Amino acid sequence: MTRRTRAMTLVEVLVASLLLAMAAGSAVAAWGYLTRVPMSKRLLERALLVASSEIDRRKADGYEYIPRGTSTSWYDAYGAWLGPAATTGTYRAEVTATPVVPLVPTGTNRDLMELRVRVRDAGATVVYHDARTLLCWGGL
Amino acid sequence: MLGGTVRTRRAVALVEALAAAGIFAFVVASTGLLFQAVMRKQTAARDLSRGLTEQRRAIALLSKVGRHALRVVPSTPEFGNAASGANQLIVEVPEPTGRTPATVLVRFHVAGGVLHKQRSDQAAPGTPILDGVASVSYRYFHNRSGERIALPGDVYGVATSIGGAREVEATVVVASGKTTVRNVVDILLRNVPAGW
Repeated sequence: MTRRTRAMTLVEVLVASLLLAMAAGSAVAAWGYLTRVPMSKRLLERALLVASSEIDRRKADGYEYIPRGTSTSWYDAYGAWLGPAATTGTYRAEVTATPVVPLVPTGTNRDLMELRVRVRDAGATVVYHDARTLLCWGGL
Repeated sequence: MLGGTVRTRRAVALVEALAAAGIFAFVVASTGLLFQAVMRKQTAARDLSRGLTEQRRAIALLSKVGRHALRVVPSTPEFGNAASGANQLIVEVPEPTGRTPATVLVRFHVAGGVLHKQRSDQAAPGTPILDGVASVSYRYFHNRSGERIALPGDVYGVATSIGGAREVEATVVVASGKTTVRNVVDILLRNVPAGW
């Protein structure tokens, strides 16, 4: 007597396919995530250096020559400043210079200024780093 | 078999066996390739992370000393008649109050793939601060009235050497495993007398 095994039902096939699809999807997602990890690390680390460089560069310009309000500088993928004429790059450093209330009531507000540096991607969609510092008139 | 029922099942056809083996081999090969790729990525991420971490520490020290410096020293009889330039930075740094002498020279140089920080009162090659260095290069700038002028160069009609620098751009390249990590940082010499 010969016993024939029954074929798989449609539900079984669908469940098996679903499990396989989930496993494959997880693998692809893990792959995508792992691919982004080194890049994210590099972007975030360099953004810190870009913020540091931007603050030093602005301070080197001198208090009087730092434009009030928000201005933008561009840096390449390694964190090198691309010059005053650059309009694109890998990192976009947005600097907001705001004179704050003077420490001494001299009638002016030139005594102390806050520099806020936000380092973003080129499209200004992500903020990689946000740094603030103060500088005083006549000093650094 | 006496008195019993003989149970038989159809054997697996050769085509089925081959198909199953093929699918199994494909799954194993895919998993292996994925594993290898993940391992490569993980290794690259680890090398990058290590390179960035070590560089960050060295750049922080370089920045700290540079920001504290009074001036870039173009050349000096110290360090065996060394000179600041594209591959070496020498700065004069104030010592703590009451210390004699009041200042000390600090040199950053690469020897045998290692970046060293050497004080003028310290034996060569100094203190190692970064391993696996492929290169460290420096560029010098003077900043005046919001303008950045590369040195040596002409600063408002005056030929100016790198001794007149107020800003140093350092490019540090490190080989970490199979990954090369390159970073550029600007350092403002905050103790340079204003108005120069």
